[in-house]
Order: sequence, then C-alpha cells, then structure tokens
Amino acid sequence: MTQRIPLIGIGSPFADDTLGIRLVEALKIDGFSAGFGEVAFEFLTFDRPGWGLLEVFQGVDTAIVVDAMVSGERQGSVVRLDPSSLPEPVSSVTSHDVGLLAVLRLGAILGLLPEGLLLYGIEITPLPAILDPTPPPPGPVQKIADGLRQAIIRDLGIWIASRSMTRENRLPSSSG
Amino acid sequence: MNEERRLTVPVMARVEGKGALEIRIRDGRIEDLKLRIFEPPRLFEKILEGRSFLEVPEIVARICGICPAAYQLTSVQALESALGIAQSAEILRFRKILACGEWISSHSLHIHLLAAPDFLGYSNVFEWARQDPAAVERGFLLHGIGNALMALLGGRSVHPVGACVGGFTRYPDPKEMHTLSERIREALPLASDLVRWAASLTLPESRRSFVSLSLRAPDSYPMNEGRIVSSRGHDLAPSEFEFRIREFQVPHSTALHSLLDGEPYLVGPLARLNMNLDRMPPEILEDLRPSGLRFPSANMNHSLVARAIEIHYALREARRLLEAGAPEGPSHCPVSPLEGVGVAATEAPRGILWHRYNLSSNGLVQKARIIPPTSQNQSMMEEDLRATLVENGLDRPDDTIRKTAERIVRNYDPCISCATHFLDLTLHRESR
Repeated sequence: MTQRIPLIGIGSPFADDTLGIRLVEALKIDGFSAGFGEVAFEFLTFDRPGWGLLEVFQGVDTAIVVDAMVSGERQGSVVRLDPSSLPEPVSSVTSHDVGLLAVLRLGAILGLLPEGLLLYGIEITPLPAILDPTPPPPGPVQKIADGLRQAIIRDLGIWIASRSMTRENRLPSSSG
Repeated sequence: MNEERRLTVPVMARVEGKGALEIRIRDGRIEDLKLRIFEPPRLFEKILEGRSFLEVPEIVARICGICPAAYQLTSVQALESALGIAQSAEILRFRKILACGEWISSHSLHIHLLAAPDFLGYSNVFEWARQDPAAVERGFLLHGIGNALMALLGGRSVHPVGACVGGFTRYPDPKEMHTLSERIREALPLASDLVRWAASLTLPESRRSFVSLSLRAPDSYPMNEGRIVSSRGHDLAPSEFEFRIREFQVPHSTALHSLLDGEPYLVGPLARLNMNLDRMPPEILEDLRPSGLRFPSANMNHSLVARAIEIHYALREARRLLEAGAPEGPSHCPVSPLEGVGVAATEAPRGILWHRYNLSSNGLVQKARIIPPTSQNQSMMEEDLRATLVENGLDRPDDTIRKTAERIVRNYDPCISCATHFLDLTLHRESR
C-alpha cells in the first residue's frame, strides 16, 4: 500500500523567504521520487500557514517540511533540524506572527506532530528591513534542490528502515 | 533627576518591521505616548491602478494572510456596485458562509494563541498548553473548522481563490457541504463551552467611554452588509463613510490613524456586539448567564468574550446556510466592464473593512481606496494604552508596564502586516 508523505514548502512572499516554496515546487516539477516503491510524495506549498500547518499533519505519521532560515550557516546550506531542539519562539502581539517555531512547539506539546517529521532549514541571507517584492533570481534553486533531494532520500530511508525494524521487533515471535 | 530606561523584547524578525512604544513620564503623569507601528510600504491602492477589475480580488487578498476572504468579499461587492450588479440570494448565502469561516478561524487563533494566555497568567500559549492541553486543542479544532469552511468556498484557507466578481468560480460539492455541516454540529457544544469558559475568566476591570462603530444589517448579525452605525448615533450608508472619517499620518508611525467626526473609535468584535446585541440569538447569550457578564460593555478586555460569542454564532450560521440546500443556479453571473464608482463595507474579523473603486469604461481601476479595521483602531489603541497604563499605575517596574502594554495591543489583534514583532519600550521618567 502506498504511503502518502506530505512534502511541504513554506515561506512568505518576501525576498529569499520564498525559498522553501520554490524548492518544493522545483521538486514537484522534476517529478521527485524518493525511490521507495511504497512512498508517494504529496507536494504542498503554503504562504505563512501558521496554525493551519498542524491540520496538514493530521492523519500522517511522516511529513517533510522545508523552510528558509537564518542561523549563521553558509548561504544555501541544507540543514536537517531537530524539531525538539529549536529555539523557544517568542511571544507575539499579533496573530500574523504565528511562525513555524511556534507551530512546531505547540504541535509537540499537544501531540499533533507526525512521529516522523523531517524538518529542513535552508540558509538564506537575513531579510532586509525594507522588503523588495521582486522575485529573487532562479539560478541557485536547482543546486540547493539537488542537496535537498539527497538529504531527503538519505533521511527518509533511515526513518523508514528504523520504523520497519521497530515493527518487526514488536511482532510476536512464532513458537512451535 | 532624569532617568531613561530601555526595555527590549528580542524576537526573530522573520518578516518585517517592529512595534515600539515610547512613553515620557513626568511627575508621575504621561506627558507623551507614541505607539510606533512600522508598516512596510505595501502601496496596494497604487498597485491596483490600471489593473482590470477582474484581478482586484486576487490582489487585495494578499493584503492580509489572516483575513484574505474579507478583502475579497469587500472588493467583489464594491466592484459589483460599480458595475451595477445586484447579486442573487444564492451567491450571498455562500459569501456569508465564507465570511463565517474566516471569523471562526481568526477568532479561534486570537483567543487561544494570544489573548487567553494573557488573562490566565501564562507567558504564552505553550505554558498554557502544557497545563491545559484540552483547552488549547479546542481552539485548534474550531480553527480547523473555520479553515475548512474557507477552503470549501475558496479552494484553500490561506488566500482563498474562489470568490470572484459575479459570484464564485464554482459552487462547493453538496456532499462536502453536508460533511462539513456534520462536523460543525459536533463542534457546537465546544463553541458553547468556549463562551462559558471565556465569560468565566477573571478579566481586568476597565470602564472607559469609547465610540463603538459597526455595520448594522436589516435583520441579522452584521457580516457582509449593512449601514454603518455608532454608539454616538451615527447611521451612515457605506458611501458616506469616507466623508465622515479622517485618515491621517502621524509623525511617529507609518500606520494611518482614523477619527470619526474628530473622535477615536473602536471597530471589531466588541463594537459589533455592543451595537448588535439584539441580533445575537438569545440562546448563544444564555451562556453568559452563569458569569453575570453583560453586554454592551465598556471593558475592552471583554473583546475576548465577544470573539467567543461570535465563533458560536458563525458556526451556527454557517451550518444553517450549508443545510439550506444544494447550490442552485449558476455560480456566477456575467460581468462586463462599465465606468463607475462602487463602495462596499463588510465586517472583517477585526472590524469594518471599507473599499471604494473608480472604474474606467474598459474596466480598469482608476483609483482605489481601502480602509482596513486596524488603522481605524490605531487612535483607540493609543488612547487605551495611555488610559490603562495610568489606571494601573506608572510607578510600576518597566517590565510590568511593558507586559501590560503588550496585553493591551494584543487585545486589538492588530492586523499590521506582521509589523509588530516586539514591543521596544522606551520610558523617560522625569521629575521637576
């Protein structure tokens, strides 16, 4: 039976903060497949989904999220992030500021995150104070997409294998 | 002795801008207060000039990620007014369902993520969720229903695409309507619980005189239609509104302020309920009885309760409209370019949203004017900050003042394009 895995790009329309969305769109256009026969990606993109991201996770035990980040890494780096080790989100004064950190933290507390959540941060330059709505050049996306593709295949493979082993260990041993 | 202290709440400014509050206190009194909201130069009214009227709903939906449907609904109604289109009852039914969805989604988000932690004594929703996950999950469930209603009519909950000039690109599937209606039915007890819970909260007392401004519809709680009324006795057609309010730039903020006949005024859930209590079904208000809480209210902190009441109303109304039968007739009527001017006002989750479009004979926008609810509340917010901080005492520690100020701003659920990320408080304490 084919397992549907949401492959989610999130971001906002501003400068390189579009990168998560553009990368997942590029992977979709390329027909990206993990190569595991039983897995099919569902390519989704969201502009500032906020709390709605938790609804996307409902009913799935594996999901992949791609978002731009500013963390001091080399620009264009694809970094696998541990959702449980992310910085504490700061308190907001507006419901427009419900970002990924807040959503993941709340999802974890409420038990609404998929067991297999693969989170990728793509390093960008910090957003300028005045945001230029001009779309950034498409050039670097393909190279970053290659790195993301490899990371997903590697990490998803490990997750699927570990889950299979866990299930095998749970099966009662036959006695005879 | 002059003393200046700077307080900073550092946040990761993911998008743009910041909010800053600067207070000058002399001899225990506020001499000056400035709420600096830096709104990025979005220039939507200018962007629309020269565009076809058909493009307007898609463009204006991008003004806000939390209330895009309100922008679309107001724009299509204003444009239809300019084009001389009188809309069918069926289209109006589905537009109201879309509006209900957005109210439910927006209000649930605000109550649970922002307002409630303030009044429960938690630093944030995460602390609250650890102590009472069921309460926060209730908000998440209701928020999900709101999003589902928006997706039903708009194709998706964020920047929905279904509304168009003339109606909708397509009607929803009747089976999906029924499924969602059942989901709402199951959630109604939760909505009732939410009202009772909200009304039972210990909310700070505050009784200030302010002007409530909202729409008032002929025979229902206002959403997508109505005249503009106020607690000062105003009763205006939407076309008169722009001649009675004055929008102006203040030196310390790029967000516009508004005055109505020279006075600040409040729009939003509390103003709506204050002006339309007789339109709210009594069975919903029955949930206030155990607490003894009454409306109309002069306490801004009761906005949270007003939002809870409106969630319950919107759920019931959406269900009623979904169960009124499968869609009939075409999902949209033909539209043709026509020179004209059209105006519309709707109640976005945060209050009155007003649009005016001047169209050329070939259907291009010549001029556009958009008055969002948050800019209308700016003056009220500053007045509220000034009055409440004085009421609470200016001799309190700076951190207490900052937290109180943040709570006050959160109460309004400002829609300033994610501009307020942190409150950078500058206090000048001076004495002669």
